[in-house]
Amino acid sequence: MSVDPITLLTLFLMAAGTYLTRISGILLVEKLAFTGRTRAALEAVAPGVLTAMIAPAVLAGWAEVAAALVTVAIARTGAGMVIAVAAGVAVVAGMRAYGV
Amino acid sequence: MTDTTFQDIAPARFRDGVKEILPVTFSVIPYTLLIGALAAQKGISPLEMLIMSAGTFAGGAQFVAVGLWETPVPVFAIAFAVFVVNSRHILMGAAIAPAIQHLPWRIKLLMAHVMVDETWAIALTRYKRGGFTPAYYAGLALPLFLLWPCLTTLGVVIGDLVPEPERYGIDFAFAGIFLFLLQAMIPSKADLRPVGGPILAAGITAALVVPFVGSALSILIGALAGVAAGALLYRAGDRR
Repeated sequence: MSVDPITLLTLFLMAAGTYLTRISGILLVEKLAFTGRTRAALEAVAPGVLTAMIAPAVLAGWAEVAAALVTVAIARTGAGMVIAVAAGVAVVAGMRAYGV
Repeated sequence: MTDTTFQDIAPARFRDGVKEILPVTFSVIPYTLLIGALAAQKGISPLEMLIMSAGTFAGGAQFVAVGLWETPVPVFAIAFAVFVVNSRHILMGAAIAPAIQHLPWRIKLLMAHVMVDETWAIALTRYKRGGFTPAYYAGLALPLFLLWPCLTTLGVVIGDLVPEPERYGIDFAFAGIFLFLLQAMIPSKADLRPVGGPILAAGITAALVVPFVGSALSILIGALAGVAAGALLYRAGDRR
């Protein structure tokens, strides 16, 4: 099995960038203090990125919006990820089958 | 505790770590199969997934990478998005640094690579309670580091066997997983402003700009809107 060079470059950059994030906090801890507003901004990075990734897909149609609401509602009852996501997937599949 | 007892109990500490990570290990199994199935849809091969999982070893970031994957591969958009998603590691590393500061560098460099959200959270709790050792950390980290690449690769192999995934709504699984992770970031009403605010800002912005700028750039613009909201909504006295 062969690996495409561009793919290999992508995989390398992913790994290198990720390692940089993992080691830099350990390296810089004495020199940088993340507090107050800076920290609030940094903590908004993860939810911001995750949301920006999926927002267009979630708002793509009624089936997706309904499935998103079902997924979150079931997650809020304390159900596990697999159950909540499976319910969302079932809603999308069901509504698409009926042409929504 | 002296260094001699510390050496004597290393295997016991390792076992402690393994025992504490075991439930997490089981919970990632469906996650790995799913990421594999989504990767198969995008034409990522099992070998490529193996390299990705061992090299990057970060679930959320790998979902992002797979989500952005297309032919030809948008190399820099993916590398950038992965870096941005994983930037939380900088904060995590800073938090765990006092626990490992005294260790030799070769150990610290290895520990950094296997630090994932769950391992980090459990390790930090143990450090605050007392009894954190390198052997304990190895017990926490190694089961996931061995299983994650194997299972995601298996996921690609299995995913290749499922034709027409859209018919079964499997393409929604990606969004569903992220929605689950996002709602878990808001465990109480107190998190609604600092976390819910950025989520709203990022979601609305990304959805509005995506028809004009495309998916890779809309992630950056949406995320920046979320970060701006996080900074603007900050009030002195917010937790952490």
